[in-house]
Order: sequence, then structure tokens, then C-alpha cells
Amino acid sequence: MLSCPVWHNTGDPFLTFCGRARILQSSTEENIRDSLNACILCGSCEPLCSYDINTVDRTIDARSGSGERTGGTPVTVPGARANGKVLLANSLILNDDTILKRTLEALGEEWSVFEDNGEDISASLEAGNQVDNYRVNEFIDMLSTADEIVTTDGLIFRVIKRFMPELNVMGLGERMITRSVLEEMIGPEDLYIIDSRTYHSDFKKLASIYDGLRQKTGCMMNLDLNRVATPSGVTIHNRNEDKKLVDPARQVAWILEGRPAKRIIVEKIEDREPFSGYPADVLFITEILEDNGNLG
Amino acid sequence: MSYKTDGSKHIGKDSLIGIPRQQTNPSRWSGKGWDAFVGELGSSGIDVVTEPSKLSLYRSDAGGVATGSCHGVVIARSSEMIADIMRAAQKHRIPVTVKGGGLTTEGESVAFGGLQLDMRGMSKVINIDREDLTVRTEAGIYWHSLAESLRRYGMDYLSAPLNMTSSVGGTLGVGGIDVNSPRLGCSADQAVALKVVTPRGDIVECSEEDNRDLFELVLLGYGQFGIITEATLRIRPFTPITMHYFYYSSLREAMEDLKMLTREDAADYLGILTMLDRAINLLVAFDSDEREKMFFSNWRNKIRGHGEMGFAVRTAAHYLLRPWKLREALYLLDRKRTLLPALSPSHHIASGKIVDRSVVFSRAVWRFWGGRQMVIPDLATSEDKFVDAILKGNEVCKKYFDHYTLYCVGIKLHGKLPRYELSCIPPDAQDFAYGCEFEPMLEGKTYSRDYLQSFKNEIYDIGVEMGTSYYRFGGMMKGYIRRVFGDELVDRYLKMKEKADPSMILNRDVIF
Ligand SMILES: Cc1cc2nc3c(=O)[nH]c(=O)nc-3n(C[C@H](O)[C@H](O)[C@H](O)COP(=O)(O)OP(=O)(O)OC[C@H]3O[C@@H](n4cnc5c(N)ncnc54)[C@H](O)[C@@H]3O)c2cc1C
Ligand code: SF4
Repeated sequence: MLSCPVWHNTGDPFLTFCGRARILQSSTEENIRDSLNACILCGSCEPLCSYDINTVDRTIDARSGSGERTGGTPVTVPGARANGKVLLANSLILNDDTILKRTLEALGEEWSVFEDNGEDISASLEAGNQVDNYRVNEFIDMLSTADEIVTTDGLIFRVIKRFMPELNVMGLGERMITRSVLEEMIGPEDLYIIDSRTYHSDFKKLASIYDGLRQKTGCMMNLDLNRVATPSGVTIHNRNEDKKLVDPARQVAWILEGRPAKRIIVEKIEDREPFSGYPADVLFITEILEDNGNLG
Repeated sequence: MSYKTDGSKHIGKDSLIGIPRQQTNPSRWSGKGWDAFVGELGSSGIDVVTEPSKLSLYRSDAGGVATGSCHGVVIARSSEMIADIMRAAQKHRIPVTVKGGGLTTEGESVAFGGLQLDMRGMSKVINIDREDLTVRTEAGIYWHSLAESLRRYGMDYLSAPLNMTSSVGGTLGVGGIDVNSPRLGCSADQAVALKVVTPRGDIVECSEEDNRDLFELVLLGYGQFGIITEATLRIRPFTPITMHYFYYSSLREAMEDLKMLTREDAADYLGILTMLDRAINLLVAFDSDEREKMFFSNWRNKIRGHGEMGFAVRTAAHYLLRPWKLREALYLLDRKRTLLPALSPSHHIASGKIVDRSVVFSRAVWRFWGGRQMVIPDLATSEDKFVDAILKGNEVCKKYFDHYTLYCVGIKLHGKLPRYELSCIPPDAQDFAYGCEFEPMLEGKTYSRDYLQSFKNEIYDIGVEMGTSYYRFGGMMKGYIRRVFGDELVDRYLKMKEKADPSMILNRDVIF
């Protein structure tokens, strides 16, 4: 509850994971439908859960239980396999040639884009629909032959981790940090916005990695005292909705409070928009290499 | 007498020698006048939640032992709203039970019928003044969230309970003990000014200068004389801390050293945390390198605790000579192996110092001592009585449970303040009081409520016998208050309560 953006925006304990869990002790899922739908699947409650509950998986399962069944639209030809090192770029990146090029350059020569980014799956999960098991199995199966995978969608990262934990998968941010080059690119005047969905899906490992970056560079991050990442509330799928319980403007104002940043570096491309109204340069993570003259 | 802890038979022969259990689980209020009350609130635009599924969120507190069911819940949004509620509640004689974080363990924040007022809807930080070193905040805010806001400006609160989710308002009414309380006092003593809604529904700003009587009655007042809606608190610049542990096998020696270090102001943070009464850990920590240096040059040699290695060797020798206690030795080893790293996780360490100690300690508290049921009776004593009272409490723990922890701290007093009367501060304490929590490790076992209650009663009975107080007292006080403080004092307060709250509706059954 402490870190739940829905709680911070509404002050309503019924709309939190704890609230749902308590209500369920004495009633049925029907009574928590509004609460389930309010959840933005950011995972901020997961690292703090004293009972070690996988809160996001639980929420996804509960809300898809009675949701509409969606087939998804796989974009690959049947039987396609991922080979070598593959980037699952979301549609915003795919639609921006420059960003896509920068991202591939930042990852290194041997990386290529894999056609099926699983975005239909994450859209279904976010909408609370039932995802076709066949589709998920097929997606995971296609990826199972890859050597390394980088994702740009936190829900897809979670799905891969959940169904095939042995796969070598990372978020784009983790990949950039572990390449070490980021360390020289950012400094104390930068605010680095972590993608909360990916980060909380692998919190035990990532908390130290990100803390290392913070300590080395002195940069600010959207982390709270528990080292939980505050989300902007904007996702690839809800970008154009205007009626949200979690108000991105409010989230962003809170993230920026007391953090006078000259540059804001976002790990998630869809976060460029909510931060753009502030007097700071807003860059997607692979753009900072260019900003610092390291690419191109 | 034998007590079983295996979950099969849990009613001790002499259970309930103190107070009957139902004292902490009062009968449910009848509901008379409820509909008219809700109607009146509705006409003022106040929404009362009554769906049974939602009310189930409020069935118990962190203790998980007392359960009650309210008729409805209001999530507090403003002082004005609360004032409307209190006026209507007086008129219709509706009990109002206030809940902040709900971290009570005796059911004090649980409503046994009537209205539950959830203060967490008032969680905004209003103003941080870095020159004056104060913060003005709504009182339903968790200390943790307050720390979060303060840190954005390089500031910190002074002292607060070591858990993530107690609220400012709930704590100011109860006490609030931290490992820096030996130096800074309890949380209630950080308050500079309060906005209070009285039981009759007046909104009053109070402080040591204005409306002082109310200020003193509300601080450490168990929510009897008003609902705290805003508070101005002292703050300080944030500092990472350096921490050291000294290990003892004698509880008495550790407590004596704690007292000495407290009196001498030798450290910024001091506390005892034990594993049974075999591995006693004196935690000593510092805000600055200078203070740390002074400790090592002036005080280290005067305390009897060992470093980790020295203690490990002695403990190993102790258990080698007592092979029949192998299970106990293994338990201690396992506890040490898991607990100590949790107290210094790498992502909270920078340049050898702990950053955000309140988060680190609080998370460890939940992880190692939290659970669906928490039974944490405590005693607060004067300096003279501290060692004897805690040694007696330790014997009670041993009698009831295989594994337990004691957590002891000193509490600096700020003179003889009126708020200390009829409070967690023992009447005979001068300059410092000392508190100890007795925390059995329930470890997933099921104990009957009577078993747990009789354990608590035995601890509380030590307080009666020795004339101490209880630093988190609440629910059990209804049964104990006269025995501990005497009729004269209690009747004086009861009269004030009746005057302030004619229908006796605000936080009933806690102490009156
Ligand atoms: C695991 C655990 C660890 C703990 N550790 C510590 C510790 O280290 N130090 C310590 O001191 N305590 C500790 N406590 C006890 C707990 O923190 C205190 O009782 C506490 O601070 C209560 O705050 P709360 O917001 O949870 O209050 P609540 O439990 O919600 O309420 C406490 C009392 O105050 C009343 N109340 C609540 N809000 C208001 C308000 N705004 N105005 C008027 N009355 C109000 C309630 O009706 C109730 O009677 C611990 C408890 C647990 C379960
Ligand atoms: S996942 Fe995020 S929005 Fe959902 S309950 Fe947890 S913290 Fe709240």
C-alpha cells in the first residue's frame, strides 16, 4: 500500500492489493472487480509484500479470470524462431526509425529486432482479458531458441520470466547499465526514470544493479526509500486514455518533487510524453548515447 | 505447571488470572440511531461505506487477535468533515473509532460497532520549513511516507516507531519509540502544534502556547480527547548512520550497559534486541564520525559486550558443553545468519553507512517479527525498575514460548510534562524511562486466544506488581488502568473525558 500509485492518487484502501487480499478473505472476486481494474500492474507493491506474494501475477490471474477471451494477433509466420540476440521493440520504437536505429546501435552489432514483440499479449493482460494459452506458449516457444533477449515492455518481461525463467532476458535499462557505458553518460544532474514493471519483476537482482549505477554516477532516480520505482502511470497501451485513476501529471509531479533535474532519461519510451512538460531535456535511454556524442 | 506450544492444547491452567479476555474484545454496540446518523452525514455529502465485503478490511488490527465489525467506514478527507461527523455522532450517540495505521495489537483501533474513521485519507504533507526545522502534515500519513517527502529536501523526522505503516496521528496519541528515543524522546514529544477535532466537533489549533490543556491531553492521550488531523513536528537534516553491534550472553549486563550509555548520551541510537535470552545484541549507532570516535575513546571499554567473533567463540563453547541444547544453538545460528544481513542490505549501504535506517529496520521488523497474529505486550519502567521488571518478563516469555525476542530502549523525558500523566511514561520515571517489548515468535503455530491473552496478562501483571507503565498501552488498559494508576487519577481523567465527550463515543473501550 505504501508505494501503490492507486492508493496515492485516490487514498482509497479498497483499491490496493492489500485491500483486495483482505476483502477476498471473506467474499468473492466479484466484490473486488473495481479494485482489480484500478491496478496499473506496476508491481510497486511486490517488493514490499511481507508475505512475499507475487502481487502482479495474482492480479493478472484474478482479473483475466472473468475477462473477455482474446486471441491476440501474432505477427510472425508460424514456426518462426528467435535466433541469437534479439530485441523485442514495442510499437513506439518500431515506428520511429531513428530511435530504433539508435537502440540497435546501443545494443551492439549482433542484435536484431524480432518481429513478434508480444504486444498483443501485454495489451490483453493490461485490459484484463484472458490471453489465449496457445498464443502465449507459441510466443515463449519462439523465443526459447534465442541466446539473449531484451524487452521494452515490462509485462512481456514478466511473462517471459514467469513461463521460462531460464531464458536470458533483460529489460533495455538493465542491458544498458550492465554494458557500463551508461556510467560515463549520466551524472548528478540527471534524473533516470526506471521502468517500474520490469524492475519490480526482478527486484531482488535489479535493486543492487540500479543502486550501483546511482552510487557510481550520483544521478537521481524515481526510487523511493524502499528502492521501489515510482511509475508515471503511462503505459504503451493506456497512452491515449484520459480517464485514469492514476493521474500521470500527479505522478510526474511527485517524482520530480525536490529533484531538480537538467535531463530526464526514460527507460520506457512512452514515458517521454508525461515528462515533456517540464523544463528539462527528456531523452529515451538510447538517445543519451547520441546526446553525449557516443553514437552516430 | 506445563504449557504446550505445539498448537494442540493451549489453555494454561492459570490463564486469565489478570483480566478476562472479553475486556479486549468488548461486546458490539447495538446500532441504535445508526440510520439517522448515516442519513445526516449523507445530507452533508459524507459518504459512509457499508458494503460488508469492504468492512472486512477493518475487522482487526496488526495484532490480529481482537476482531470486531463496525457498521460503516468513513475515509477521512478533511478536519471539517471530521467535525461534521463528530457533531452528528454526539447527537445520535454513535461510537467513533479512529484508525491510523491500525498497528495496535490489543484491538484499540478496531471498532466493535459504530463508525470506523480511517484517517489515512488525510495523508498530505502541507509544508516543510527547512529554516525552522518543522513540517506540517496531515495526521493520517504514515511515518514512512512523511520520511519520503522529507528526504526530497534532505530532511528527516526525529523519531518514529520501527514499522512501515504507523501513522503520525495514531503514534502521537500512543507514544512512538525509536532507537534514537534515548536521545530525542518519544514521537509525541516532537509535536510543536496540532490541529484537533474535539469529540464535540470543534476544530481547535493547539500547542504549548495556545490551548495548552487540550494539547497536553491529546498527546499520549490514546485518542480520548480529540482526533488529531494535522500536526507540526520537529525535523532535522537527514544523515546516514554507522552501526555497531555488541553481543552479550547476560541480559542483565546488557541492560545495565544500555542504561549507562543512555545516561551518558554516549550514542545517537541505542537499543537491545535479543534472540531468546542467549544472544543479546546491543545496537549502538551514530549520525556522525565524531560521535562514533568519542564512543570508542570514552565508552567502548566500559561496556561488557563482545564483538561478533569473541561472542561466537564463547557461544560455541557454551553449547559444546551443553550438547542437549543443540536445537537452541541451531536456532540462534540460523537467526543470526538471516537477520544480520537483513539489517544491512547492500542497496541501503553507501560508504559503509546505512542509508534510510528506518526502512531497513522496519522491513526487518516485519520480516522477522511480523505475522498474521502479533502479540507484543510491553512494560515501561523507571530506570531503577528496568532490569528487574524485564528479567521477570523474560521468565514469563520462557514459560510460554520456545522462541522470543526482547526489544528494549531508553526514552528521554523532557521534564515533568502534563502529557506524561496517565500515559506510557511511568509516574516515577525521572529524566529517562525504559521500555521493553516481549515478542514471542509464533512461527506459524496456532495458539488459542486465551493462551496468548494469559501470556500478555502475566506480563501486564508485572507492571501492576512493580508500579510501572506500558509503553504502547491501549486495549488492555481498560482492565488494568485502575490497578496501575489508582482510582483517584483515573476518576479525574474520566471526569475530563465525560466533559469533553458527553456521549462517551470517541474511541470507547480503549481506556475508559
Ligand atoms: C510489528 C510492529 C512493530 C511496532 N514497532 C513499534 C516501535 O518500534 N515503536 C513503537 O513505539 N511502537 C511500535 N509498534 C506499535 C505501533 O507502532 C504504535 O502503536 C503506533 O505508533 C500506532 O500508530 P497507528 O497509526 O498504527 O495507530 P492506530 O493503531 O491506528 O491507533 C492507535 C490509537 O490511536 C487512535 N488514533 C489513531 N489515529 C488517531 C488520530 N489521528 N487522532 C486521535 N487518535 C487516533 C486509535 O483509535 C487507537 O486508539 C509496533 C507495532 C507493530 C505491530
Ligand atoms: S501493482 Fe501497482 S497499482 Fe497494482 S496494487 Fe500493486 S502497487 Fe498498486
